[in-house]
Amino acid sequence: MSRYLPQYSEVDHGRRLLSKEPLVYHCNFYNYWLQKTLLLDESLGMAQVIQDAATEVGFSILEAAGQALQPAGSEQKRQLARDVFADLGFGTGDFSELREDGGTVKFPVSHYGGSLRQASGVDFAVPQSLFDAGYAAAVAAFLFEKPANHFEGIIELCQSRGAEIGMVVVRPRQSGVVHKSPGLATYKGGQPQAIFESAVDEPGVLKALAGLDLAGNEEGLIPRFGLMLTNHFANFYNRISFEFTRKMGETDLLDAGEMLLTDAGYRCAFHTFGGIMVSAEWDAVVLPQLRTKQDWVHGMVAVINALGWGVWRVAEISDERLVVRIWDDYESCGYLDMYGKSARPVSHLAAAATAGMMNLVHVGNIANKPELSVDFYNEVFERDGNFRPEHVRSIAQGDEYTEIVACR
Amino acid sequence: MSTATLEELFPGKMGRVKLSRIAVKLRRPDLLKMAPDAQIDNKLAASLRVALQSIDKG
Repeated sequence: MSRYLPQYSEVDHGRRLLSKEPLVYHCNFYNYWLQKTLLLDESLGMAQVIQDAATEVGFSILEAAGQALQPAGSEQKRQLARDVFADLGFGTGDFSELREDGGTVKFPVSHYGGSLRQASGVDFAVPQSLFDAGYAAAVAAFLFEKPANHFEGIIELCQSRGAEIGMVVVRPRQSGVVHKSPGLATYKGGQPQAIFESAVDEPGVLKALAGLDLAGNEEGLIPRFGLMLTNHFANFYNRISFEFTRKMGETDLLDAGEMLLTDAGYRCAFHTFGGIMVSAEWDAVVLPQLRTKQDWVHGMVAVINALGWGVWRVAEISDERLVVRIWDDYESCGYLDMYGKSARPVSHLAAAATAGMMNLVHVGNIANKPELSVDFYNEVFERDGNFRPEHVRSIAQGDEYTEIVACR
Repeated sequence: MSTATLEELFPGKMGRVKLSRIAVKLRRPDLLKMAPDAQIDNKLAASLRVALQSIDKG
């Protein structure tokens, strides 16, 4: 399958870029639970924030790709927009009807419209395709060389609400601000420490993973490990998560908001890490190296280092405690670039992933290949002696690395 | 007063997470400061049940 795309590139610390935008892999479970949390309090206006964040990263990548590729006319620009969307796993979008004063965009397949249902297990009360709407607005701005905030997308139909296809009406926007994407966050930290000595050959694992084809298929989806992946924008996650905590800071519910972001991360760890650890790829590449339960954690940390989340290093490990240090952690570095130094740790996904890994290995006995069902998630979560994360250091607070301790 | 307590409406660790969702949804930080075993009045219990149904939807 040939797509018209800007260049993917790998930069320091396992960070990956498409054009100038850093990418991170995340699954439909994380996307669902994160969005569910952000949309809890309608008065926060997070639906618009999510759409605007999609416009921010969509416009940034298309504008930079347009400069690099110099598409020959409108049709090739539309193809670029379509192929970026599909290659990253967001689905298929038809931007052919967009005109200078707006128009309709159809989404025959949509990750946010269609793939979040697997994660929710129940029907949706509100349309989920906010990302699609924001991206459609970005495409219109790119096509007609307008500022990023020139258009807005209105969801007319969404598969999450039972529609056959998604449909977004794009129209000129009366007011509103779309932030300029910071691109790859500035990294001011030092060199990561050496890989913890274990039975796992991390460079070998990374090499094997680099050979996997994780591009969107013909439908623009990435079905892998029993779930739907997206090769998503780090700046999108950072913008929506940090705008949420900023707004929650104006209520008396910041702790609860952060706890729910961590909960979204637990779902991510359970389904993504769990899905990976019961996969044929794991069995082929990683499993033969594993002798102890601690090796399972080392194996998973090796895989995490292929996800674009930064450099993860085990600093201390036992069956009761895991200390992880992260250099160039995408959440903290992104926060610094967007908002400056933080008074609190911000790497809620990383914290949840650290504890979630230990829970899968030691509480959920993932080596026995359990079914990764909602019931099993609840059982592991409720069990006495499960692991909880604690932030010890944070790049966002000025530390050289982010350090998270998971203990019972 | 009803015979319900927060602990009964939101049992276990998962219940605590659901209560946090409701506290955020309703912007009611006081819910998280209430004693889990304190009895809550019928009106609050009813509104929490409605909110619970709402957050259990997608």
